[in-house]
Amino acid sequence: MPIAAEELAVGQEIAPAVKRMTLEQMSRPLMAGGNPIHYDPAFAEKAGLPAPIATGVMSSAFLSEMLTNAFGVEWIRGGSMDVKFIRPIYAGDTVTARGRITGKSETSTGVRITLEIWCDTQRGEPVTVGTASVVVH
Amino acid sequence: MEDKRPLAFDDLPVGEEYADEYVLTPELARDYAEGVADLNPWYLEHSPFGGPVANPILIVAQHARLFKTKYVTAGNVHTRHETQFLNPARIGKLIKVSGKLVDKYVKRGREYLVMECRSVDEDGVEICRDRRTIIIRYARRPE
Repeated sequence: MPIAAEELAVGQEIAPAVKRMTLEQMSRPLMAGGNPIHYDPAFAEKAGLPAPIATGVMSSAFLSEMLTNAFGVEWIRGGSMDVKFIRPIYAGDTVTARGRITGKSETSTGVRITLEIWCDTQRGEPVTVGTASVVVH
Repeated sequence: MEDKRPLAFDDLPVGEEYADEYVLTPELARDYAEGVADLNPWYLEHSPFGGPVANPILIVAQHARLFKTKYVTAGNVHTRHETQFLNPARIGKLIKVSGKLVDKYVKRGREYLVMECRSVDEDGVEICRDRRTIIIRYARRPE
């Protein structure tokens, strides 16, 4: 069930989404898009990486899943996100998508909720960082 | 058919435009759902929009196909996207994707490209707008 606007407060964290990254997921043609940096260890090493890296947009999908769970149809029909992929994600990583409410304001169509969003891993460092916004009716 | 060229930073003209299209099939929706381990029934069976819709990030991910319409790409890395989701993408629709290279720059030895993209369905419903930044290759450019 999406969260009602009155239940949301600045500083509050929404429910996270926790994911385990696997090489099988990373190397699917739809995910990798034919780009060997996402599945070929030799190519990754030549590029200066210790191992293949997941596409950054996979972490966006984890963030979007979290935001869909929190805000439902309003996220899919009017949400926005601005994210940067700042560190690699490797096979075997546990990736946690998180969000914290940073603002809440009335608009002509509902209550605009702004959030700081990020993904971190079991290494305790953020890999994806950004912001999101959604109007809750 | 036009031969595709390697994606070479110095040769890319800012302002170049790209277009592509694909059908948003149930198989594509399921493949993506399994790939990101998000089996929300909205993407597979039914949704509050009246039928299944795509995971919104599937539509964003498909914007990566635009460079491939003109260039051979390998080893590029996506670094940022700024995306507005405007409407759900309904399964079964033809999705038309368009984009334009709006900037390119070198920063700390890496070659960055910035593209603005949009996806619109066959009925003219705008699904999303996106500004995406990639580096052509992870390795730094020689000094």
